[in-house]
Amino acid sequence: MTKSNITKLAGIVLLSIFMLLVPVFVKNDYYMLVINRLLINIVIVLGLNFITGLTGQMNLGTAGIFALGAYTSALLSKNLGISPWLGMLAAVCMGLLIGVGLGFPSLRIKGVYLSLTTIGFAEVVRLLCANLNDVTGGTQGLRQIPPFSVFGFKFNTQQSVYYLFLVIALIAFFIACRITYSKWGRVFKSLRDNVEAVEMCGVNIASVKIKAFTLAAVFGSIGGSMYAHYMGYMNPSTFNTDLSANFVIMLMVGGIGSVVGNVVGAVIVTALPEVLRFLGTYYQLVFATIIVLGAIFLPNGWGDGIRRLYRWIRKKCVGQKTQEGGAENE
Amino acid sequence: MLKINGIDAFYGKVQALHNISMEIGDGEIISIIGSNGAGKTTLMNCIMGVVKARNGTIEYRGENITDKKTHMITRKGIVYIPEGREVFPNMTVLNNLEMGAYSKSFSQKQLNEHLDSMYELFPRLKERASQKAGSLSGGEQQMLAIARGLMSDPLLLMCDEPSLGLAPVIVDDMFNVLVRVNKMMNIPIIIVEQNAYMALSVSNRCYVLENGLVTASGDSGTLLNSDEIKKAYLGG
Repeated sequence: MTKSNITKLAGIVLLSIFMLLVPVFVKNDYYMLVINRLLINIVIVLGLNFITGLTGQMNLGTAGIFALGAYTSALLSKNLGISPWLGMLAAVCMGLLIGVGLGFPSLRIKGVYLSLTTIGFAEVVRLLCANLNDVTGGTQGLRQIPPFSVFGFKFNTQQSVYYLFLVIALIAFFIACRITYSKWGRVFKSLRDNVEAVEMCGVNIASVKIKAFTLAAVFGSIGGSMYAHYMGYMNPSTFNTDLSANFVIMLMVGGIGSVVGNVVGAVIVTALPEVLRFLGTYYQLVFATIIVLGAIFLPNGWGDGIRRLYRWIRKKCVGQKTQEGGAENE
Repeated sequence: MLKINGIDAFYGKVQALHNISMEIGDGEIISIIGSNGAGKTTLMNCIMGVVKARNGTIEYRGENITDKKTHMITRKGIVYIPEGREVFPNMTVLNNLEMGAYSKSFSQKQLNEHLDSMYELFPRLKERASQKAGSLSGGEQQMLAIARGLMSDPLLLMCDEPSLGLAPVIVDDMFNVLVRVNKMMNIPIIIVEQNAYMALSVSNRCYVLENGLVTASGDSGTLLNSDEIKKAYLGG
């Protein structure tokens, strides 16, 4: 085993221990809530990465996907009394439908027009949820959504939900990695780079775009289902355009196209408002400023910025050492 | 190999190709020359199914491909290298080459064999395998575009303006490579060019396009010496 492999392994072991011990150290229920929301966000951003990160089609309708997944899963398990897991399965089917439905317009419309279409989709979903009083409970929201359970064990404490979501997020992460660094991932990326040349490589552009949209919608719907059964209550005002924009910000902060970057971005954007809480009402102003500055000065994401900083510091240190070495020789 | 029977093509109401007929035999190098707007690229796009021919048929190995979709035509073995070095600038050279093999389901070993033979043909690409394609020089990008096309074991290669925007020395290299590909892989090549002299000197036969019509065709050597061609394309 080489040295870099050992470091990598040690890093993974440390990270796993850290992830397993989080609920032991974090006793505050509110912080656990934030962490669980973070795991949901990670799943959704990993999905969004396929369409916006890799193929470069700006999707501002994530809130709509999220809402449809959440309502599908919640309504089925609440009204029909089926298990939330079947609800999640139904949400996945919903994701497939949305993916194909959103993928088809993307074959004809490009750039900013596609973004507008996706915003329109999300708004339609939100308005439907708010106004179909009999089905969705309207603006009053949906109450008493059953939590996830396995063989009678109910995931109704923050700690148990944490472990459940950690498993789901890890599975999503590995699937995303496998896809991103395979033939599919390569085709997604090439679509962002040069559409004309992709077709000349024998790629059916239509099917690839729909695949990317479907992946994003399935991940988003799973996230929605997780959210619904975790929170137990939801109302349509959660699923506004702000939420969609937030997911795009996570993607951007993490560095577009990188799977690890997605996770980093989700962590930063979810944690930053909590860190800035001491600023009171000014927090949004500061938050927005930080994000905009990040977009200008770190166009490849904050992860890339940290890496560059690390390299710069190391260069400085190594430089000093050689200088010192030179001085000793004298 | 490829047989074009009297195709017409339109952009809206404007007719770009008038009753074009051509034939490409096995192992031949065919050049298509003509000035700007003669319809050379339109003809390529017709063969690839990007522009649909309104009349006439295109037959490839005895099969009518006139109404096939572009990616299906590529999968049948026709590889088109579009004008202007269409590489994937933000992907590495290696990834670009791997994209070329998309339509084939190669095993890792086959893929590596193909990569090796491309590196043998274009040694410069091996040196730059991990570099982003956008950082290559114009000539190297054109080489990459050709190599990417060859990754899928084409049965017919079509190059649109391979010499566009390249230094004269590189242009010579470019055409030498095309001749070598023709010999080594034993596949017919169609070269679309404005550089009439180079195109005529490497090809076996040539078609001259003018305003969407084939105005002359025949053996390249004969055309090279014909007065009309000399006057119109070779500067005296």
